[in-house]
Amino acid sequence: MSDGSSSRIMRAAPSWTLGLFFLAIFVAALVVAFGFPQRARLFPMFVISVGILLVLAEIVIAMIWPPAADADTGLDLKADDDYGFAEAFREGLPIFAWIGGLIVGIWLIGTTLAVPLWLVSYFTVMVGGSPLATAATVAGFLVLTVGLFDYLLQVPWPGGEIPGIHEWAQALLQTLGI
Amino acid sequence: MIEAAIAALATIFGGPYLFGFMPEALGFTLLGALIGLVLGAAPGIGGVVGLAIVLPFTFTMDPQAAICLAIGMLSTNNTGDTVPAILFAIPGSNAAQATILDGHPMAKRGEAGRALGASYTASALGGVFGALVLALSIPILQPVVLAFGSPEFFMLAMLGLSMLAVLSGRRPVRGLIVAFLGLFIGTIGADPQTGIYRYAFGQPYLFEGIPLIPLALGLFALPEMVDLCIKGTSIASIPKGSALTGAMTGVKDAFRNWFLVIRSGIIGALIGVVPGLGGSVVSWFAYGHALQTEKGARETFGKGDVRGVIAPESANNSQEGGNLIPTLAFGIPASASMALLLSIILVHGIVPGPPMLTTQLSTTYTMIYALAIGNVFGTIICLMLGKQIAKLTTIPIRPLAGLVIALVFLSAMVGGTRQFGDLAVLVAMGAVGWSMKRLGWPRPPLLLGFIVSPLIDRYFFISVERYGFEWLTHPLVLVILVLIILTIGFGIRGNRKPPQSIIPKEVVERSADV
Repeated sequence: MSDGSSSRIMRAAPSWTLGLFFLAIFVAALVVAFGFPQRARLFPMFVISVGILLVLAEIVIAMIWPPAADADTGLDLKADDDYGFAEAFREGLPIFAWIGGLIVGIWLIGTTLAVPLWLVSYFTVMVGGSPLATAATVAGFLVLTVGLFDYLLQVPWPGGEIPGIHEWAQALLQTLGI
Repeated sequence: MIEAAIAALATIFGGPYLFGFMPEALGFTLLGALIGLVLGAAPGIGGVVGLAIVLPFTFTMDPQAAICLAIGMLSTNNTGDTVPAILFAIPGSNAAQATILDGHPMAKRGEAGRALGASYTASALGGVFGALVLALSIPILQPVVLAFGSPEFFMLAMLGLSMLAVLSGRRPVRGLIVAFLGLFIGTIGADPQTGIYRYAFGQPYLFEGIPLIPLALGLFALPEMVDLCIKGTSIASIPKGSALTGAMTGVKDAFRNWFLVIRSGIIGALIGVVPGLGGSVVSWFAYGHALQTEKGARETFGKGDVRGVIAPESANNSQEGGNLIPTLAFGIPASASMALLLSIILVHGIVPGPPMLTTQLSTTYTMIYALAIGNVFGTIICLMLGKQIAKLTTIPIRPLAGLVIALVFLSAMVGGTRQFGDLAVLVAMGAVGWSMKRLGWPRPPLLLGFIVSPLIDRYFFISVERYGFEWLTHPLVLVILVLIILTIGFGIRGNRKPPQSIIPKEVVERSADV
């Protein structure tokens, strides 16, 4: 393989990566769709078949005309920094970790307890805010969310996997008069 | 007809007084407009939840007052949702999705005030225009809507998808792939025709399909917050103060582009007539139209062109007028919020259908006036508060990101099914959305494909079941087919043209200085 075609394939690689991911989804969906009754699979089969053809076409196009380094996202929002994918991923690791922490927290101890605890941790560690500012912000957020969602919209938040802790949090809020 | 119009005016401005200082109908219109603004600005809540909240309160109200409250709310919902869309790239509702593409880059460039000013003005003009279209078109549109069957509705939805080729820059195939991925995700859950669970894998969460709000928030809001944290500054990377001005420039922008406002208003009102197509489709249609017709739009749209804000905002407000046409004239609600409005109307003993054009014509005109008044009032309020709202863009991103991420998580559950699965969808789509943004794959087509999927599925199924493949020869189907081919053809041809910037020199220089 010549240097030119090698670098061309390297540049197309990110397109391949996501294109192949979408292709895998479409193929898996196609296999599953064969198990549906004829009338139920009519539309999914049409969509998936066209999707597979389009991905294959895109991979060929990406090989022949690889996208430029500043890949055109059409009319989507563009990242306004100079990081490549891997570099941006490394830079974004702390915020990914915080987002992961929030979802794990909600899963374990439920929304009522996890969200304020997460906010306190975030403002203390990530923002470096003073205890007073952190407490005021979290209290304001709680009033908004508990007032708007709990009382007005009557939203039942999902409890956590750890048994009893959600009920304990609700009782604590009631005791505090929130 | 003139008597009915005058009688409706008397209802709005001359009815019983509220708290002794304002006519009741006018007062409830303004109150509804205010509530609509606030709820529209809260991501994941929007018009449907807002109307659902006030629905029980309207049962004991006077019919005219109840209708005015509801119409007032609907009139400003698409104005309020612009605030999170422009400032944080979070669509307050489906209708605000297209606004993000140019509104948020403007906010980043320090032109949040200008973008909001343009958006509010375009919303008001579009909304008033929609009310006007509603007033003029009721007697005309009835036979047209009745002539549409499932094949025509299917083709109309496909026309919306064909816009994706245009919306996907120099890689139209990517746009189509992503759109078909959205269509596929939309098939998850119970098949509305056969009741078979498709791709649910026995998970009760998936029986009703993937909810839209967690998917949309994950696709757009989380990636944007992550990228802003990576960048580590405020949303607008400019000295404090400069983002807060420019609202009047935005107002002037909207009036300067009056022809675009009118064209987008027409698109919004006409597409709003078609049941089920909804605000996001209307916004994308208007955006795509502006992209194809405005001078130099291909080079500047998506980078903070104010016309990319004006077109969808004008259209999504005028569509409320269009939505009211099938709701009132045929009793067919054009959207979920119209279904709730319909229930308010029915509870008060007003029967939609031909009577709304004959014996109840004054009620119809009351709605038209309420729609126009609500839009104008909402815009005045927004312009008054615009400076304070735009200040949010100058707050350092890290504390703001913490609050926004927590709010996004809660909104995903409120707008979803209130199960843990909503958060799984949010984070999964966040990961996919961030990768797509970084690797040059357009995200809007995925969302549009997902939204129209149930609609296309239903119309496709009915068309094939009822007509076999003979429906492909229906005259209206052929007309729309030609439009689809022309749209894709012009889109691909236009995308091949070399870029040539028409961003004003001073804006380019200021961006370079940041």
